[in-house]
Amino acid sequence: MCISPVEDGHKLVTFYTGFTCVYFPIVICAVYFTEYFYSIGKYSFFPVIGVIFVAESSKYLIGTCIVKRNSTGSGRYDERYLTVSTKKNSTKSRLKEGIKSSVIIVIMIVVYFSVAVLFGAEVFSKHEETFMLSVLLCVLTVFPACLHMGASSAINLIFGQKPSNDVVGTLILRSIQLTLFGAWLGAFVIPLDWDRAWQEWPIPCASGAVLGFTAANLLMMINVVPKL
Amino acid sequence: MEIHWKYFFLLLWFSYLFMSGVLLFARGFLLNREVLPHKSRCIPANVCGNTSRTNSNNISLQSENNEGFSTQSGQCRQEELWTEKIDMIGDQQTCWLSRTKVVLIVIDALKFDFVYFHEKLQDQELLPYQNKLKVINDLLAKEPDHTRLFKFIADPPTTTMQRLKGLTTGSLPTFVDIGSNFATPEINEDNILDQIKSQNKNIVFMGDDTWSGLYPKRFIREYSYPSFNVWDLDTVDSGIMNHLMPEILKKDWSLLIAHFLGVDHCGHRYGPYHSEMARKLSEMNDMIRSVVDTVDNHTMLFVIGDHGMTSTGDHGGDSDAEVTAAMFVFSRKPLLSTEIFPHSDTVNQVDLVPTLSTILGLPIPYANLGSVILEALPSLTEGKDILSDWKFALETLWINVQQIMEYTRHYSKKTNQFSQERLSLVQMSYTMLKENIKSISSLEDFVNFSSRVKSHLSLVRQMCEEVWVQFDAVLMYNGLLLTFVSVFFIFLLVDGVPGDQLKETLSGTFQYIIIGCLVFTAFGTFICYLINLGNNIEISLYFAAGILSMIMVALIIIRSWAAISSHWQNQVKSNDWLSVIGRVLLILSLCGLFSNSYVVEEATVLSYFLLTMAWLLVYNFKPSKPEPAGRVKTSERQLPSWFNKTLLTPLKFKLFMFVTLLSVLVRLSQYYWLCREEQIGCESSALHKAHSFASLVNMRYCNSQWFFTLICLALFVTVGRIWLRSCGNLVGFSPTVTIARYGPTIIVVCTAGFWVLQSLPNDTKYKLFLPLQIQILPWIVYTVIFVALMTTLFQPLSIFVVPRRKDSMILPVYGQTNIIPHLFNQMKELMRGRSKSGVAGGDDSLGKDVPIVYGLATVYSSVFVNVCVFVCLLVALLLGDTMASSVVLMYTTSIVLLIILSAIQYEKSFYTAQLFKVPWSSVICWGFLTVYFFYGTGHTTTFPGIQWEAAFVGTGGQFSNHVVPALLVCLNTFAAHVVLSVTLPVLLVAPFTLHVMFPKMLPSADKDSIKSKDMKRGELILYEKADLLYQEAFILCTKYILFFGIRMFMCMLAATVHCRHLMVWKIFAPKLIFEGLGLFVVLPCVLVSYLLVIQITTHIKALLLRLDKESSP
Repeated sequence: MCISPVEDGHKLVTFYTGFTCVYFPIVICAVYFTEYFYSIGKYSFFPVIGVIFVAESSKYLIGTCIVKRNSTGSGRYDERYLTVSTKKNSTKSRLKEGIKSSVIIVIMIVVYFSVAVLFGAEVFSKHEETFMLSVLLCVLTVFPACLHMGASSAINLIFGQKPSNDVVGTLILRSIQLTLFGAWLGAFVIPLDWDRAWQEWPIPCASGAVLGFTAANLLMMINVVPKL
Repeated sequence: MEIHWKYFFLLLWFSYLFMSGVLLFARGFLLNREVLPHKSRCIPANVCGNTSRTNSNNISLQSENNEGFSTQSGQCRQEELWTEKIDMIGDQQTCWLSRTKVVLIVIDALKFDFVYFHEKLQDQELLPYQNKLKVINDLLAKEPDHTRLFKFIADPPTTTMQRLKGLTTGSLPTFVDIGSNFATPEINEDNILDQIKSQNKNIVFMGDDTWSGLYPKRFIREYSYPSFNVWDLDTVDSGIMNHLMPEILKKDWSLLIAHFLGVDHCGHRYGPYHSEMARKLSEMNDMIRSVVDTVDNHTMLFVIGDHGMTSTGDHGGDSDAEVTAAMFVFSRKPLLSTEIFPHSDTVNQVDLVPTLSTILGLPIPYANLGSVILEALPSLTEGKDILSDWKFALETLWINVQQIMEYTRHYSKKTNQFSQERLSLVQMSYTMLKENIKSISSLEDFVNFSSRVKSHLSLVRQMCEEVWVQFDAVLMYNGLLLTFVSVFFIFLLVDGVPGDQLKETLSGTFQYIIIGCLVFTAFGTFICYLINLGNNIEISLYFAAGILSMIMVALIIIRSWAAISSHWQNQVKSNDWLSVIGRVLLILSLCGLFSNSYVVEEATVLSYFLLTMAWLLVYNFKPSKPEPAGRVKTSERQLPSWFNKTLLTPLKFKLFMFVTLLSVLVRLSQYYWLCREEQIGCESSALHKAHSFASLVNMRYCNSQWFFTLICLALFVTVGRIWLRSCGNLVGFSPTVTIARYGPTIIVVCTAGFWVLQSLPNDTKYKLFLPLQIQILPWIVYTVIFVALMTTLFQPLSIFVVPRRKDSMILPVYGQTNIIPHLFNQMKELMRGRSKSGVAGGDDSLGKDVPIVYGLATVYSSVFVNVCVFVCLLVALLLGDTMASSVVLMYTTSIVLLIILSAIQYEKSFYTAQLFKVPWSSVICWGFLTVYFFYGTGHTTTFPGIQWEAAFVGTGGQFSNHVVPALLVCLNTFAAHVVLSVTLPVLLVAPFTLHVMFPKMLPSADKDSIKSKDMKRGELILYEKADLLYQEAFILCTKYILFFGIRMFMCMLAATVHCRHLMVWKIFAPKLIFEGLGLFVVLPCVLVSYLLVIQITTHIKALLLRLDKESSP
């Protein structure tokens, strides 16, 4: 029996969101209960970002494997979900895609950095903090987009194109939106005069972004699971 | 009445509603203490028989102190007198007879730090204000028994007039008194000066003329000097110096007051870190030294500061630096010994009143709340007899306690303000003291007792403080209710009722009913007042008119409820999430008004919201013809390009650029922020409060600042002129055009000249010029601006009708102008069609004798550009040379925002009528911008943050009345409100202007057939649809004032909710006052802008009629 592409997408999304909903809370708890929480704005936070990076990549790899296996069984697969691997599958094109993606990510780090400054982050100090926030935001938003949809579609997504009825695209878009929204909302606690350590820039924004990302995945899972 | 005047009066009515609500609330919230007319009186000193008053001492005690003078008071037994005194209730007090005289030297803003001597510091390390008053230190070291130095804690608000009130009556200040700083009213409450007068003693006064305002006709000789000119450091002081020594030698007074202003003015002008401050303090030092050398044995010297100053030299708030003044006491007679009496180095300012009363032998003023400072009293026996010393101190204390008790008792009886439990607590503590006093027999007992008295008095003081922040709840709730209901109903009216329906409602007989009812209420209230039914005409007028108006508006709403509900249903369906987001952001910013941290950080919060709004607007912007989704995907598959062209159209790209520019501009304006003391690291910003205090930073820095500002202004004027010229609005020689052409340049030159003269050092300046000559420059500016605004109001059109000649057709003058004849052609055709007078044959000849009119396509916007330029320049002059560039920044930012908003609006609307409707999101953006640039032009919502120096521009500190300086300060403070409110209709006009001036920016312009055809006529289309214009401009204005009304309501609510909050007087109340003043500035400005729209339209009509007549003979 054939598996329709739509159902395929649903399964893939279920896997993605499930994966995230398992590993992300673990990361959050680990960060929260260790000293890493207060060093979100320091370079020493890079290991955690690395963990997220690796987890996102492996999520994608496992997901594509599952789809491939399914599709080999049924004889057809929907190539939409396999942007990178299907395109002639040559190392050259992969390399090209990889370079493109990394360029986009670097550009987006700069963009996030300047947007943060424009929205009120300090210009002449706290570069480290602002930079770490932009890196975190990139790992949560642009990196998955590049991974799952390819560099050019990621750009399109950033400039506000709604992915049609593509479930993976919806997931990515929603997680980007909610992550940024979370970071935006996080800034609300900074001006309060409570004098807590976690009010330091960029801890509230970073936490907001992380929570927004989790929320997006959770919501998507709730949406998708009944349709399976 | 024509429809536009109806709209105008409707706006006026709405403004009145908001204002009356706010004023009602303010009456209740900014309430104060009731002033009791009672005066303390003296019991004749010899109550109990024939006590002789002759005493070799300069202070003759009342005779019951018979330990010392037992021979003369044999008949009076001590116990009897004690009981008499203990039970004595009433406004009568025993007083000492005293021949002591007091010299009270008030050095305005004498901070404790100025007096405190740093022995360890070397001369090089000293700040300019340190160790300058050496005489005080010398005396303290040399004669410890004769001198005292205290920290003298003033009660906030630390403004001179409030302080003087406290220093003479001994009462606590209330908040609203701040408002009366401009017009000093006479003090009628019982005070120390009146007490002296009533004992037939004399007072001599010299110095600050605030005293003369507070106490007219109290002094036998007075030498007062104007106080408001804070740039003048020396007039007052040298005036006092001339009179001080001769007066001290004259001996016919018992109190001599000398109020020096130099130190305070120096603080305002240069700040405490300037060398001028060292000079002023050294002068004071010499003055004190010579006074100390001159006074005789019966004279005591008090040197006090009425308040302190912040590190920028300002005062008015309640920070430690502002309230900590100094008090120095010197007496030739020894003072009560500090070894016996508990000594504290910190006293309250009001404590001076009972102390002075005791020394001068006066009853303590009736409303006094201070406690006598024992250590500052002279010893009766020159320190030899400790027993009589403490008896004397005990009695003094007890009189003080009784006086305060009597006052609180009377006050609570009269006003019912004190809470019962508090009162009983005080009563209990008083009874205990009364029991206690009988058993005092030794010095230790007395020391115990005096500390108990201290705690009792502070308890009373606490009780009073609590109550005098008491609000009139009824008025407050009425005000809140009125404001809420007006905001709510006006929102329903504007947002719910479709425009045409509103017009219908207004046109019927209903309007007459409204006017009739309003007139009737006004008369009714007045008559009620005349026959004494209502006791306060102002409040009843507000209230009656408010209620009636609400009923009227409710009637309108009920009448058109069907329309409202259907309109809302449509809105819900259309699901415009941008305006939803706009409202959410608005609500979030309103919630921020309830939190003190957000009020403190409001500038940041507002810029955050403004940028969020702008970015969302652009991000969400879709070009009007989106490609079908399927095609996007195929192209994406086939062309793995960097990005999809259809998504990032050139227009969207430009918008992204603009919004980035907007963000950068807003971010840059953060360097103009004035921080407030609650913020961390507040002292860091170099710009704050430093402007026009040129010497605070070094000269070179100042010059570069000045050049930068000047270049900004010059660019601003030039760009404005280029714009007008390319619009064709600078052709010809009509008065409007002429003044628009030359006015700005004249203004900028004069302004720059004025700033140069201001930054000259004082001595050079006055050698070269008379003060009058300097003030001529600002007066030229004022005159030009006044003339320009008046011309613009009465002759708004800056267009030029080319005289009809054959060759005039081929005159391709400036840029765009050659399309104007074509435009006019079309328009005229339309006119003819409308009036149906056009003859068919006439159309053929049209090509030949069409009149050419320059600047008709931008006829609306040019007027607003003109007005805006002049208002901006006026505001720039008032802001001073450092901050003036912020106005240019504000102007640029608003233009960028305007471009974004209008481009989006243009793309979103499908037909012309839709373009007239300004959506909520734009209005909210504009509102955020307005409130944000209140901060962006270097202001905060604190009283020390007000830039008083604006009052000196063009007046030089000589005021005949207080209206002009108040107006100038107001213009300075609410610069953003004025500029952005007057130019409000530009929001409506801008899409048309944008299309005429930059047709290439809007690529879809050529495609849309109907819209672009309409749009080609530029802003004339606004005239053609004049009815729609009036209606939508009205709705725009109402939405805008609604924005401020809602904010005001929330501020009022926040103040109500937090009225017992710790921060209410520091944060919420100033916020409320500034917001209220802002609203009061916005309302007339919006009305003026609507008036401008009306004026332009009527003038175009007249012009076209004239042209029509000329062309068709």
